[in-house]
Amino acid sequence: MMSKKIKKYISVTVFSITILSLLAGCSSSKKTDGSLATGVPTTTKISAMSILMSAQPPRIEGNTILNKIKETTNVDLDVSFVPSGSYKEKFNVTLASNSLPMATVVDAGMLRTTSVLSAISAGVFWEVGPLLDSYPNLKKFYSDQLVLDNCKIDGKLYGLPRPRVLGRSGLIIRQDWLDNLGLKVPTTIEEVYNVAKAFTLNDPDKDGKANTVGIEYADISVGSAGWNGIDTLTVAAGGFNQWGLEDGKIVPSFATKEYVSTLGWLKKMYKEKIMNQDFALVTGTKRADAFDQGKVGMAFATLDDAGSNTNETESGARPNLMSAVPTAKITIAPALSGPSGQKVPATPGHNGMVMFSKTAVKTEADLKKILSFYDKMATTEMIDLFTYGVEGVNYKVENGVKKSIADSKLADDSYALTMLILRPAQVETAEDKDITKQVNAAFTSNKKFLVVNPIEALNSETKNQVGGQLDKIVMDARIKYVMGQIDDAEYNKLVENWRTQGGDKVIDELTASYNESIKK
Amino acid sequence: MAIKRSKASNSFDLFNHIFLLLVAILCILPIIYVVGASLASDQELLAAKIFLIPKKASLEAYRYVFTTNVVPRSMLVSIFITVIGTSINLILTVLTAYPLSKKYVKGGKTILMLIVFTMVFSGGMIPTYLVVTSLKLTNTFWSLWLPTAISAFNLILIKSFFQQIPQELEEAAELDGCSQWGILFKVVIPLSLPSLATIALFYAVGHWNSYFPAILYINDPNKWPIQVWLRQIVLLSSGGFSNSSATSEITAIPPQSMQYAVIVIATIPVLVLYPFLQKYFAKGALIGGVKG
Repeated sequence: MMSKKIKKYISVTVFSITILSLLAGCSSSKKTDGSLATGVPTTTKISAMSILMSAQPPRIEGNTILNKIKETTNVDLDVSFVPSGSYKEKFNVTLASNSLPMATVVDAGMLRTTSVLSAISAGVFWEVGPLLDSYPNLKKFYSDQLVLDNCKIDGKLYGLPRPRVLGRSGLIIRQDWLDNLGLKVPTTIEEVYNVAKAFTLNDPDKDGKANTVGIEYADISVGSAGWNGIDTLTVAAGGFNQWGLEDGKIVPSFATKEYVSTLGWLKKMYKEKIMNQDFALVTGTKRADAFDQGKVGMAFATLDDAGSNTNETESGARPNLMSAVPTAKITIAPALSGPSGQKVPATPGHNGMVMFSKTAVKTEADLKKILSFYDKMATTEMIDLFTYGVEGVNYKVENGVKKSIADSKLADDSYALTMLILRPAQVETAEDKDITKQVNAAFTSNKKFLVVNPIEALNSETKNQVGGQLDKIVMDARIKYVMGQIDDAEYNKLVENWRTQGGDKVIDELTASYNESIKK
Repeated sequence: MAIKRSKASNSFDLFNHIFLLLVAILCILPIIYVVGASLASDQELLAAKIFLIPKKASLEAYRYVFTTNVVPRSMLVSIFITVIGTSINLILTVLTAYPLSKKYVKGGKTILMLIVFTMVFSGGMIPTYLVVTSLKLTNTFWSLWLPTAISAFNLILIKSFFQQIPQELEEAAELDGCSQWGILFKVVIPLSLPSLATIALFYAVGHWNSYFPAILYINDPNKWPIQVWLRQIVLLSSGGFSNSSATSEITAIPPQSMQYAVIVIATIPVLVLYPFLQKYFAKGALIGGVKG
């Protein structure tokens, strides 16, 4: 007869074993095999991690686009989506624990952070550059060598860049205000000033009240300067796009006379109250909101801020503005010109890359399989799949022209995947709304006027470490100058300050990095 | 006989009342703002510089929230996670605290020391992630329930409470032929209801508010709790996510009023829970077992 104690021990042990086996049984077995299936037409499985930019989950079951991809390329995409707000943290944790999937989206904000850079030097990611030549569709896809170059780290390409429009920044204007005052779209910085003045003083919205602001300016930090207009104005004046090359040395734009002359114009506009007086506090979103309220005449922004096909308005223009002021009309200014003709500051031209981890992609043969998948996705047929969808489901052909079927859920099925699949920077369709057509035309013509920022692919340790503080010095100097609190002499003193606090070191390191890169 | 209060005492009372009133207003202002903003139209929110109560109430934001079933479904997921999670928490915490509250349990002191140790030192995010993934718990709800199943702080709280229950009660029950389990369920737990209700609330709110473990371990967007979507909606509609150099491609930014509507919706269940638990706070305090 077993003693009470032993009975107790046995019952406890049995109990715990039951619980443990329940636990093991309950866990879902999502065995993502690292190795790719080989052999006769079996489906290749590619695991990926991508950013979710929307407020609702993508459709996986019954997703027409995914099914078509599987049908055409024989690849089963197993994507795990992470909300954009938390992507950085999830990426860092997965990176640090060596559990990256085969393909990972690494966006521009993360590409040159210390964690990714050290991962690259530790050999976590495959180098893709030399292999690109054997993929004809990918070669054609990357027609702008600049896009590839801007993604290189130490001169090497560690993934497939996700291209974005290069000539993207510009000026959006209220066309109806121009019409009301009989003015033309400004083409030089002086004309921008004159139009802004007229917009403020001459009651362009014809409501009898002096409640309009000529231009809404948002001073965001030097890092995202492309969108606040300073670089747009500076390059038009013949200057640099954030950084420039002079006599073999890398030079910061804010120390040049073109930049200071731009600040002079802003100072004038601020003083005469034809620019919003709270510019030091306004962010990009606030600027967009102010424009949408209908009391602002112009704003520097990305050209596609004027509108796009996805807006429900007839012309595609910004919906919030159109509902606030139904008679509003938006237009975009052409690339502004100065002493050296029309110029546009070039964006980096990419939003990061899709990178392939060596833990999940074990051999070069496996990598080649993935690259040939991307090559297939870079064909016109597959690019069109994302633009138009599946025939009969998302569009039908009428007179040789593709017409989309209403409510076909194309965006629901495709949008989430566009982060992972390479999309061309510009897409044009026959059904583009007026604003889209205008914006696309500007993107194309801007390619001729690009002023490139030479430090995109360069590296500087000091810049990584104290770049933020240095940027602050520049921003403070700029804001104080525009507000009239300091004059030229004091501005130059602050520039000197920037130099001594690490700026000179940054210049030296960037120049050295540049010299390295032209050697190759 | 009326108690005479000195002038100083009266003025102190007055000052106290005013001060507490101000603090109360400060606490409730954000709530009024959020509820008010959720009932306002998007235009009004964009236009107004200072905003508290909408001039024109509109249910537009709420209607927008329910156009997709993301919010209702994730709300159900959150409720599921909270209910099961809190039950697991309570069961495990009580079962661990009770033996540790008895002095005669061998090794009790050592185990308690180890548990307190974890309050100060923890593995960190990456090692925890490695442990959870190696146990194949990813994409299951167990990754949310097990790693923090017992909070050391709550454990010590309950243990101390158990120790305060007079030994005589338990001995009396044992004399009446009650088993150990019986003592636990019929004597100890009914007496501990206020503290149990308290830690149940702590655990429940913790589960309800957590979003990061879900993002880390759960890959299926349909299994994400409401806080993940709430955070996503708030970040998207305030443009806070954009990184410096690249895309401002935002096809469907939720309107500003939507973030407030989702906040209200996500807070309602917890607000509703409080009054129900208050009953248990009161109940436990009234049961007095020991006379004299």
